Amino acid sequence: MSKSQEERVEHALTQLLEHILPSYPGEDPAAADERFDDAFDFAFDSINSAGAPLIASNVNHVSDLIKHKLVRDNGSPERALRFGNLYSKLLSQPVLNQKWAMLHFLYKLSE
Amino acid sequence: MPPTDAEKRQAAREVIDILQEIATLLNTNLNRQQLSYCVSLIENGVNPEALANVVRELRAQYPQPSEESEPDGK
Repeated sequence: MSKSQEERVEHALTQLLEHILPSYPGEDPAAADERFDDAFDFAFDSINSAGAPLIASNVNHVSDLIKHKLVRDNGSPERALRFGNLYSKLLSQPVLNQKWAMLHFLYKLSE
Repeated sequence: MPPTDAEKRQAAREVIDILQEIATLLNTNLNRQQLSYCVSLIENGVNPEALANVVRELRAQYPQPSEESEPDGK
């Protein structure tokens, strides 16, 4: 990962944590800061030590996994059909490079 | 002719719209802002599985105040 990429990752991770970590009413500011730092250290170490994804990045495979999950979880094909439509639109989008990784991330988070 | 900045921003919004709908279909509970930062992380090379584990772990370690106050066993 290049230096500028690392900086972008650190920035995005800080922003993500600010939007995930709740603020607890009445909490001591120093404790809140410590909580944030602990969470950031954990998150940064986790993504840094993970390295490259282990499985082959096959965008059609992850798309099939998502479709099967949507049919299984909902007992009907509607959501899977809706996803298929969205998936086609996503494939035609030039600005997103890591299409497989984004779908794989959403699939893993949904488990 | 290369796309203008306005066109790039429009395309980026469309991608987030699509990803947000997929995230909703999958019940990931990511809001648009959180999703945008995850896109930035993954576009910059972060391992998607590791990021998913981090988000899950942080949600478990630091529950939202409303979730925390629910009586046990409900």
